[in-house]
This record gives sequence, structure tokens and C-alpha cells, in this order.
Amino acid sequence: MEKRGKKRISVRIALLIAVFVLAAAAICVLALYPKFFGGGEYTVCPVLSDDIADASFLVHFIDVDQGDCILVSCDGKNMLIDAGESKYAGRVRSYLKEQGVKKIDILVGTHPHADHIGALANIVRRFDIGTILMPKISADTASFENLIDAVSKKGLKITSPDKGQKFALGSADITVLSPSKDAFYEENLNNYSIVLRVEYEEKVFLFTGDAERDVEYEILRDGADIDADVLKAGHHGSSSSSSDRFIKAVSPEYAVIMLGRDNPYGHPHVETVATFKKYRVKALRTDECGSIVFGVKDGKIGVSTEKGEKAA
Amino acid sequence: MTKRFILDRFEDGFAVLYGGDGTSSFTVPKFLMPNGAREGATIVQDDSGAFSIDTLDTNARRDRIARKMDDLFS
Repeated sequence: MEKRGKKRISVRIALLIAVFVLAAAAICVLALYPKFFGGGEYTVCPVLSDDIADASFLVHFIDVDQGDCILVSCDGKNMLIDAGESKYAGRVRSYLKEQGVKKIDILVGTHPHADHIGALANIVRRFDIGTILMPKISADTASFENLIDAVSKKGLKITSPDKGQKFALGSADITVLSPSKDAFYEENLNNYSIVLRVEYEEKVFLFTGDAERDVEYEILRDGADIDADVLKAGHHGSSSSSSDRFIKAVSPEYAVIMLGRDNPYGHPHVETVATFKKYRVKALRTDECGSIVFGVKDGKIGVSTEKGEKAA
Repeated sequence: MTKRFILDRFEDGFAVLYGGDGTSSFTVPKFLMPNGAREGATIVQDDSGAFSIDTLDTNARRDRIARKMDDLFS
């Protein structure tokens, strides 16, 4: 009898230890990988949520590591916003070719930093180009000089757009929200970023380049309609951008942060991630999801990510 | 042997430098940049690892780019 009692006690102790170990393991997993449980600052990369393959309006946030590259296509017309560093020119060209892009009807160089315009010279040389939009601000760098040389060699001109100016991409409407032609932001090239609002079937996308909070406040003061469904988070998720007031006003369903894994700048900054969380914005990151594609069809937005299946 | 770079930008406390061909880049803390280093400057790194500005080359490129931009923008 005594022996059996002792055995029961030791089984109970073993069970208690097992429960304790399992609970500790669960706490560790929750703390380290909150994205598996929908908590923390992560949003799991979506797999195809809607059939967007045949959508006539598509926005591709092309993964170029720490840099921006966005393809907007509508009714067979294409707009390319930036193309990342020059070393990614091949990747961008392949992506565009896969999408059947032969002509880039509108090419936007948001501002002359190499992580945005580095590969544009190569793109200008290799594709048929329509209108080129860039702020009239020079950068005394090789990447900028290469780009203007490529444009010049093709006999093309660059249009520096003005705030409020409108363009059409098929049946999508593009409005320039910043900068104004006479804008002066001293040496901060980020703030010269061309900020675009693109609307298709009442769905709105906002592309902000690296514009920082001063520009965000300016756009708010302008009273422009900036309520959007999808926001390209400014400046790779740096706390220099995505100010609380701006995100509150834009109130997007999705924000896309374009950045490289383990970048030295700490992007995305915790402040930005916290702001998105505060306003319940689903933040998708190219370092986690790879390229991210949105489609609009029958007034609905669908989203698909390159690494969607692996991230679940 | 000295190495030459172009200072492309300052990014959240770092200086981002590109090699002459524009394909290779590396990032160093901003405080390592010499006084007066601005975006677009030619930066020279000597054998000891110290950085300095090549003012002549910087100015030459700035003037050349300004001339090229003149009738390219509308």
C-alpha cells in the first residue's frame, strides 16, 4: 500500500513538472514568435486572398531589399515608381518582363537617393519610356548622373510635377500631393519625394517615397483627400515618417513597409510599428513577405505575397 | 591604397557610401564622416581608414550635373 501511495505521488510530481515545462515553453514561443498567434506587431503574410490575377488594376510592391520599387498597372498602362539600388536592376527587369511590361508609360523617380533611383538608368535604357516624373532637385551623385545621362541619351525630358497636378493611368486617376514646384526643404532630399494618390474604382493607394513628417503635416494642412485603403509607409518604416496624425488621417487598411532584412538603420522603427498597431493597420513587410501584390476587382481589394505560403 | 566613394545619403545616424560604379555600397556611422561632408561629396578613405573630402572632385561633379540638368527638366 505504502509503495503504491509513493508511486502515485511521484506520478503527480512528474505530471506537475510536465505541465510546468509545457507552460514555460508556450510562454517562450509566444514571446519569441508573436506572429504565429496574431499578436505583437506582426501581420502574417497573406496568401492569395482573392482572385486578383485577372484584376485590371494591380499594384506590385517589388522586393528590392532596402529600397523602393512599385509597379502600378491599369488597363494595360504601366507606372513604375522607383527601382531600388542599381544592383537590383536585373531583378526589376525580370519582374517587369514576367508581368509583360514593354512600355513604362509613367516613370517616377520619387527623389534622387540611390535606394530609389539607383536602377532607373538601366530601366530607362532597356524599356520604352513615356513620361518621366522627378522633383527638380539635383543630387551630386553617380547614380543621379547616370540616370540623367540615360534620359538625355534617349532624347527624353523630365517633368517636375506640381502639387495638385493630375495624371491618368488607364482609368486610374493619379494626383500629386507633394512637392510643390517651388518647394524648398534645404538639404533634406527625402522631403522632395513625389507623393502620389492613385484612385481606381473608389479604392485609394498612397505612395509617399521617403517624405518625412514635415511633409506629412504639410499635406494635412493642404486639406487633400488622403483617406486611403493602402499606404506605402514613408521612408522604409523609419520614425522620421508615419506620424500619428498622418496615419490617423490616412487610416489605411494596409501599410506596406519596403525594407531589407537586418538593415543597419533599425527599420522599421518601433514607433512606426506601434502607430500602425494603434490604428489597427495591417502592416506588411517586404523583408518578411517578399514582393506584395494588391489587385482591385469589382470594387474589392485582394492581396497576395510572394512568401505567403511559407510564413503561415 | 586609398579608396574613393560618393556619399549618397545620411540615413538615421549612418552615412551610406557608394563605390564609383554605384553598385557596391557600405554604411558607416555618421560621426566617422569628416566635418562638412554633405550628400553628393566625394569621400576618400586613406590607408589608416580615416575619411576626408575630395573637394575638387565634388565640385567638378556638382557643376557638371548642374549643366546637364539645365535643359532636361520642364
